[in-house]
Amino acid sequence: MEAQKIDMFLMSYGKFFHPSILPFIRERLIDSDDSKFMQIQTLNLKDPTTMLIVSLVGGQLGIDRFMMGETGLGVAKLLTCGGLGIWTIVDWFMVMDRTKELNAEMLKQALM
Amino acid sequence: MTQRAFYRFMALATVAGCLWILFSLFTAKGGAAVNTTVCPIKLTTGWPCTSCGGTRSLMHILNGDWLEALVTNLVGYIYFLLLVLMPAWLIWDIYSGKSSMHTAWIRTELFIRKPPVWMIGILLLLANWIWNISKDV
Repeated sequence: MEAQKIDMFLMSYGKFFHPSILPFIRERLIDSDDSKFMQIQTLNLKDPTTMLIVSLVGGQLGIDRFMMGETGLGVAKLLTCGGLGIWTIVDWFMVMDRTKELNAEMLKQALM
Repeated sequence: MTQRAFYRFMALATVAGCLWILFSLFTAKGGAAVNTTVCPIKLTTGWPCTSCGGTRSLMHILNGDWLEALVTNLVGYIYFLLLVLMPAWLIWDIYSGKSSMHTAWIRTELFIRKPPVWMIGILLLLANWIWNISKDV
């Protein structure tokens, strides 16, 4: 893949991933085919900051988990008053990291 | 979620749930659970969420008062089912080395993601929520 395209992607989506894995993402993108670029552009990557806001507002109803595609955990959170409120608070601190992990997994699958 | 993380989470959730039920049983007055509100929505807005009253409903079931449980919150029945099922299933999977719970979890997630299923689920939850607010659980 062209370096210019990679730079553009990392500039736009760099904050969606853990800083520590950015060099690996760059390497994988360099090695991958140009046709993959369109594919990774259409990926439904989640913004960690948006997810934090969602978690703060609707975390008690499990909306953050539903958005991350973890339907079962979303239902569990919804039916337990957000894990008696404790799970909701724990998620406020974990949701950004979890979103970045899921984004990395999604990108990894797309580049396979 | 990896299989290992799933079982760790389920074990933690089961222990936490059982501890909460034990706490509710010990603090219960006259067989009925005390209204110990921990729900962030109720604490901030004063309005109950769709699951508020679930513990009290479960306490009614444990006391054999199934009708009162129905009036308090339907979620209590789900709690009761999970209370009976989860510990036994978890122990069975750990001892037999199988991952039947994880497989069932993935299948259930896929089932819930079907549009007719989640639409009906949301409607039921909203109806239960409105009922909860009207009862002021």
